[in-house]
Amino acid sequence: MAVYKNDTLIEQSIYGSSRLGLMTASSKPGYRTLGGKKYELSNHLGNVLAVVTDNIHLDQDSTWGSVVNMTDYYPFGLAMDGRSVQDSSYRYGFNGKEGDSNGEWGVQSHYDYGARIYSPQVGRWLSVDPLASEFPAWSAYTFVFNNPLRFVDPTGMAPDDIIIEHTLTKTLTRVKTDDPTDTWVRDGVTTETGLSKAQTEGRVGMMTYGGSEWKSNEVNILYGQGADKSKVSNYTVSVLTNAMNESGNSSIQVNSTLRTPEDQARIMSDLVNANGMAHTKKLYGSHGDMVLDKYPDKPAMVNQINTIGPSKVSIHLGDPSKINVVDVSPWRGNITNPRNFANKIGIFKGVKVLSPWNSNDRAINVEIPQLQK
Amino acid sequence: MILFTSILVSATWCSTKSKIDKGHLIGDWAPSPEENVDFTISKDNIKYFEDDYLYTYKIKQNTFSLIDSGHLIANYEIILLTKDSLVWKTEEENVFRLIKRE
Repeated sequence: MAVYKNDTLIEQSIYGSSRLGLMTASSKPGYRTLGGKKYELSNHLGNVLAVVTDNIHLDQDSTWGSVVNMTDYYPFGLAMDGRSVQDSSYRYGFNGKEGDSNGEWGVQSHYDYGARIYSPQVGRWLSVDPLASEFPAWSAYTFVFNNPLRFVDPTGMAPDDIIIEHTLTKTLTRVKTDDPTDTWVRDGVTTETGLSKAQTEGRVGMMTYGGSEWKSNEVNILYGQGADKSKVSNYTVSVLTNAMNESGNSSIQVNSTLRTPEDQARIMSDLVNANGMAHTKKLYGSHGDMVLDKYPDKPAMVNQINTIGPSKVSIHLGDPSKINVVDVSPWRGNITNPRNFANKIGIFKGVKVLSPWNSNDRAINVEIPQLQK
Repeated sequence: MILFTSILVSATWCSTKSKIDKGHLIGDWAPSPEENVDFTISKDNIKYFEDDYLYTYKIKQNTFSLIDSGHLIANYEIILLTKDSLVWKTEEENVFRLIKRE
């Protein structure tokens, strides 16, 4: 985050949601020194394509900044001769990683990814993958499945798909529901929603790209009585569809979805009305009991749930903009290979799966963190 | 020789006989005193927490089979069952300890 030399701050990173650039100028009270802040302009892979400074030139009818670094990269990260202007003081480059052009690896830049050092000259890691056993089909030195336009490796441990993590198949999938409309998921990403059945008929079976590389199919996602489809995001539909394609299941039934604190207060009140307070308290843990203490005041129960932390009251509670939780039935909805489905959806990044085969859960309980913009 | 054979037969019979007292299973089971119960087992059914639906179950020797509308969902191997605690193993070899809520 910062570099000091002899107790003097000489460099500090500028951060937003990720690194935006570096600040190298020393400040003096009452003055602003221009040119000391350098900002990165990066692409979807994190490659630093240009660096501009805050030294803005103003004229009567124009404004321009100073570009101190410009780099075009070959796919595997080597800077192109003649298409690069390097300011040696800016050391971040390919994938946004720190380059080392004067160290033990020689004059050509190598990049430090944390777990390993990468050489763009040969397009290989210089040491074996610490997670090599998880990728038995690949050499332990291979960089991002030899596909650096689509995959990145943020830590040097394992590749991440920049489109959707761990998507393996290329598919165009029509997601059928009991709605009057359909959704299309192309290559793991929801692309079109709200299309009429008539609009989507006839598109199943067509090849859209590269002939043999693509396949198209259709899947059914059914919703049981306890499920609220409005709490299932397009991203979650994409993840479910991917797992269905990967596991050979063309149909599933979602039995329940995430609850709001208001839903939870209503359910707890219904339980008290049906079974009495003593029995209901017996079934809940200490956090649930604190909510029940506010019964029958539902707004107070909701406040208590939010104060305690919704997920501590019930595993079915949460903020649908941050996480989706769906219970997939292990046999309803014509699912043909539920165990394979549970295994496949569990490899998506961040997804947690409980099932009757690995826990005390009655269904395939899937927690899917939502992509944050 | 006859005595030895009798002991052997008795030992074999004991090891294959179900050790499960179904009466001990009946009750509300939770992972800890602080947490919500996972499920409630009655004489013929198992009801999961905050779920209105009733599942059924079967017990054969040490195996507890969870059943939904005649479909086998999963088997659990009961390792220990007393009047107030249950330890069982899932098909993926995860072991869970549950305490009966009094």
